[in-house]
This record gives sequence, structure tokens and C-alpha cells, in this order.
Amino acid sequence: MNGPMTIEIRGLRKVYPGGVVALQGLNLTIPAGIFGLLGPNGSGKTTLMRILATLLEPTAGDVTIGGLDLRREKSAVRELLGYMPQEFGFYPNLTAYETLDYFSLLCRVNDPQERKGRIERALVRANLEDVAGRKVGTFSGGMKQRLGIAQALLNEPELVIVDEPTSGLDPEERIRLRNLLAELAGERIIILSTHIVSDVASTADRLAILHRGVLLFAGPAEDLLTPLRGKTWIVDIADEELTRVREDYFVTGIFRSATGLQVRAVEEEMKHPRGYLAEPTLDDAYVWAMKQKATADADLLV
Amino acid sequence: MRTSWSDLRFAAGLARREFQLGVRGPAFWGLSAVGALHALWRATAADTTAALACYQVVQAALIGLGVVAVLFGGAAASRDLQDRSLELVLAKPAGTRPLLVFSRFLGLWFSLLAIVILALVAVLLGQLISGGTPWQFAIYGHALARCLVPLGLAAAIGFALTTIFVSPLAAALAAVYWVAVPLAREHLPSVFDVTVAQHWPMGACFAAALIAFSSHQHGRSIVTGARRGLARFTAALFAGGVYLAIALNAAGTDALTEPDPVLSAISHQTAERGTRAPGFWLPEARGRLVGLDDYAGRRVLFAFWGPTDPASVPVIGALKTLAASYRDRLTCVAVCVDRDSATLSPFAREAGPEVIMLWDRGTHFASGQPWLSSPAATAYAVEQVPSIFLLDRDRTIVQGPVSAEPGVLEAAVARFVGER
Repeated sequence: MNGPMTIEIRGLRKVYPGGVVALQGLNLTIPAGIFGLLGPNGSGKTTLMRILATLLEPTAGDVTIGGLDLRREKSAVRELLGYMPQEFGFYPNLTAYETLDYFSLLCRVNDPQERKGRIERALVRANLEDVAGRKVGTFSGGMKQRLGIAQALLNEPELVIVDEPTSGLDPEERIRLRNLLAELAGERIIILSTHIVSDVASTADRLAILHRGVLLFAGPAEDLLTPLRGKTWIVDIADEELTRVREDYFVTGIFRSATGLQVRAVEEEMKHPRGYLAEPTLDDAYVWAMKQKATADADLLV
Repeated sequence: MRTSWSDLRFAAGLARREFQLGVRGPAFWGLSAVGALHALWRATAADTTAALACYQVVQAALIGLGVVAVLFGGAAASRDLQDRSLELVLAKPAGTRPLLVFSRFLGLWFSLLAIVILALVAVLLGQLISGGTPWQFAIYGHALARCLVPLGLAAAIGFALTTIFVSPLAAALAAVYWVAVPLAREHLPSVFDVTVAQHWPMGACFAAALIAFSSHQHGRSIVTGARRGLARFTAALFAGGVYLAIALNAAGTDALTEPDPVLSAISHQTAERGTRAPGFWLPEARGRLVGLDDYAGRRVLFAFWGPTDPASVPVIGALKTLAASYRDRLTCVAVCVDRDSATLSPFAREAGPEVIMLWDRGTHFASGQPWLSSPAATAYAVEQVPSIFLLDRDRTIVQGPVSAEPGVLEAAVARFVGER
């Protein structure tokens, strides 16, 4: 393959038996780097991830991964794929090393010496080398997630897909996992699917927002923030003012401050005396994009 | 050739890990402890020999461990679902390979055989403790070999059913069936009960067909292409198993099937004291047919025994002593009455060449008294084992049945040989 890896998705549609439409004609280009896929639960993120991981057959549309047709060249796609699903587990009676040995055999690494080298590299990357001899059944949630990343790296993949990797983790483990993903980026594509905006904000070069199977946005994070520049406000209010502020402005976040509440809002104009302009964040942009979509849907219904 | 070597390493690597998964669970060690203690208890009992203790280990393995094997097979096949590792496996380059299923099955099978090996080691220890015959390793090897196909078939049944129905409940139902068949006597007894050990080619065909079919079904939701070669291979193995089952049924002597005319003729003779002894053709340990005519002009001590009645087994030791004492004046023939011809071999090895060991096929497993249906035992009206007859040089029944009580038998033989 020449040049950095790219994924081209054209007209991708997935309808589950029973008629649930998970993806509605998705068009998306994913270049090398960390790509964040944002969306609420049920937006179609996992469906898209599973299709890209060759585990689900699309109803219609074309996907090429590094020039390979996903429908016809599944085997070749799996050779360059590392996948960590949203929900997964390991065999509790095997140690971390043995688990990775098992999965490296499944990556067709049949030479024991080569397997050993790859396992050790994956353990170091996932910071698990000290617990390599421990049974996976004794691992914490964070350690299991890191082992999940380690198994995805065994075939030195050019495409890494991680679905909701930080859900259920404590803050320290979340940061550790995000740092690990950031380290892995380079010439390869890392697709990070999450409903936690801060995960994407701290790591992704580009992102997409999915909502009910429709793409709301795709591009660099900066492009999502630009329209909100000069429209994002912070308002310092007392607790009793909250209801009125919510009615008057589109609130994207509420935080407690030393003097009362600090509300983030997106509006063209701010009339509140204690409102001042702020730098938009991805949280603001995400909530704003969702609101825009909800408004458009309501208009369609009218 | 390079691909084959690579495949072999792939299969060996996965089988090794699957074996580890099998032997690290509490179920494995619990069963091993129960099996080994049972074997030790049997091996240290009075009048037990290594062959008899090994026979009892095999019987326990075929029925008790057979049930466990079905359940283990179900557990192994549903492991990815239970441990939520299925998507991790299927997304890997070799995650949908049929060889993956075969390798996993191999590891599972070895873990079941490990339980048998531990029980056989316990027999060896028991024989050492009780001063028996511990060093005849062929006897232990024979016992292990007898478990290979039945345990493989049981595990394959659990494995395949769980793969097909995507639920370990299917294996649990099969386990119930495995228990029920030996207990329900008239229900296809010669094909689907524990005689799988004896009719191992049939069992091996079915086991291989089940595993090939499981391979065919593995990852079926995402595998594109028909896997026609694998489907044909499965069908061929299954057809082979069915052919062997039909052939076996046709040659069987069960009440449900057509009786063998030669065996039928043997069983329709009558033995009476003072008359000419009923003739027979029975196979010895290596399968060569032996008849009474082979001992024409010799005095013959003719003893029926059966491992299903362990109290009858010490008669072999008594025959061995008598054969050594009356080397040229008496031929000692021990007739093993059992469903399974393979039972004979370790006992024959233990008895040595002085005692001629023959097999009289018993058919009704469920009755627990195979001598009631064995052709030669029927002809000699054997109602219990051991049953001993003394035949003169002209094949006349001089005495019988003679008691096998120590001292009584020796005295009767001394009188018999001394008188003539």
C-alpha cells in the first residue's frame, strides 16, 4: 500500500432484521491519525465500528480500507485491523501473556520467537509488563481495557478500532488509556468511538458526530468550534436564576462555582449582565450540534 | 509443505492454550481428585490386579467421565460467548479458520485424557502399595487407548450441539442422553452405548464428522463463501460412521438384530457331565479363533470369568499357578465373558502365555450379566462366574462347575490329573 492509510465510506446503510435502521447512507472519509466518532447511545457508532471490523455485513454501500474492498476482501482487511469492541472479555484462567499468545496465534504469528517479541512489545505499550504472569480473571477494569488494546496491537495493525474504550473506567485509567491511544497514532488510523466528548477532545485529530444513523458533522475538531466562536458565553448566576437562564439561552453546561453557578451557553447575543464571552469547547459544540439536529427534526415534523 | 508446518504450529499452539484452559478450572481438579481416589481405592483392594483396576477405571471413564466430556465439550464451545471474547476472536485474521475449532477440540480432548491419566497413575501407585503388578505399562497404555475415542466422541457431541444451537443447554441434554442410554437396555445398545470403545472406527468417524461440522458452523454469521470442501468432508465422515454403525448392527448378536449363525449354533448346544463337551470357536487376545479341537488329546480346565464381576477375576491367578504346576498334563483356558473383545488383552498379558485367554461375547450390557447371553457360556449353562469345568482327553465333561474356592479347586484338579 502506498501512502498513509485511508478509509472511504460511500452510501453505507445498515438495516437490522426487524426494520431498525442503524445507518442511513453514510458518506465519510477517514484519514490517518486519531479519528473520534461521537454520538449518543443508539446513534449507530457501534454498528459502524462492527462493519469496519468485518463483523457485520452492511445492507448497502461501499467501504474501502486502504484500497481493500471490505465486502470482498475481509480476510485481507483483518490482516491490517486491530479491534477492541465495546464489550469484551478474556479467558479468566489464562495469564495476560498466555492471552496475548493465544491472540497472536489468531493473528497468524506462528513462529514462537516472533510471537514472543510481539507480545512483549504489546505488553510494554499497554504498560502491563509487570502483570504479564497474572491471570486475567484477577485484573481490574482498566487493566482489562489495556489488555484489550494490547491484543489489538499484536498484528501491528494499520487500522485500530476502539469502541467506547473508557466507559466504566476511573479517571486515572481513562487518562492513561487516552495517552496510550495518542502514542499509537502516526501513519495508522485509530478510530475512537465514544459518547464521552472529553475523550475525543484530548486525543482526536478529526471527528465525526453520528445521530440516529446520520452524520451530523465530519472534519477537524477546529471546524466544529469555529461557528461557535463569538457565540459561546459563560454566565455567573445564583442558583435561583437557573430556570430563567435555561429558558432564555441554549445552555451547554452547568458548573458549580464558589459564588453560585457558572453556566455555559451558546447564543448570538448575551443580555445577562454577568455573561462574558468564552472560548468554545467540544462539549459546547457537541451539545449544539445535537440541538441543531433536534430542531431540524422538529421542523420536519411540523 | 511450508503451509502445513505453519498450520501444525498454529494447531499445536492453540491446542496447548485450550488444554491450559481445561485443566485450570476447579472442575478438572475436582474430577481428577475423585477419579484418582476411586482408582487408588480399587487398585489397593484385595485380589485386584492392574488389569482389573485399569478395567474399572475405563468403565468409570466411559460412563461417568463420558457425561463430563459432553458437558466439557459444551463449555469449550460456548467459552467465547460466556467470556465475551467472540468478537475479539472473529476479528482476527485466523479467527474464522476451521482449523481453529479443530485445535480447540484437540486441547479439550487432551484435558479429558489427562483426568484418565491421573487415575491410571493412581492405579500404578495403588499396585505399588499393595504389591500387585505395577510395571506392565502396556496395561495402562491399553486402558488409556480405550478411552481415546469414547471421550473424544462424547466431547464432540457436547461441542457440536453447543455450536449448532448456540447454547450449552444442548450439551446438558446430550449429557442426560449419555447417561440414559446404558440404563435403557433395549435402546440401540450395540451402536450408541459405551461399546464405542470397542467399535472405535465408528465412534471416530462420528466424532470427526461432528467436529468438522462445528468447524463449518464456526463464525457462520460473518464467513462468506460456502465452505463446500468442508461440507463434503463432514458428509463423508458422517456417511462413514453410519456405514460402520449399520455394518456393526448387522453383525451384532443383540436381541434387536439378526443373530450370527455360528454364535447361535454354539449357544444351542447342551453341556452335561459325562457327555462330550460343547464345541466352540472363540477368539483369543490377538483375534485368532481357537476351538476345543486345538487341544485334542489333552486335559482341559475350562474357566468362565468376567471383569464385570470382579470376584471372578482371581481365578486367572489360580489358573496361572495350576498351569505352571501341571505344565504338560493340563491346559488351562480362561474364557472372558464381556461385551468388549478389547477387555481381554490386558488380562491376557497379566496371565502370561501359560493361560490361554479367550473371549466369549456377552451382549446384554444393561443386565450386568453378560454370561447369560454369551454363546459358549450359554452352551455350558453358566449362571454365575467363575464357572469352572474339567474336560478329559476325549472332551468328556468330567466335572463342573467346580468351586473356585482356594484349596477346593486345587484339590479337584489334583484328583482329576492324578486319576488319569
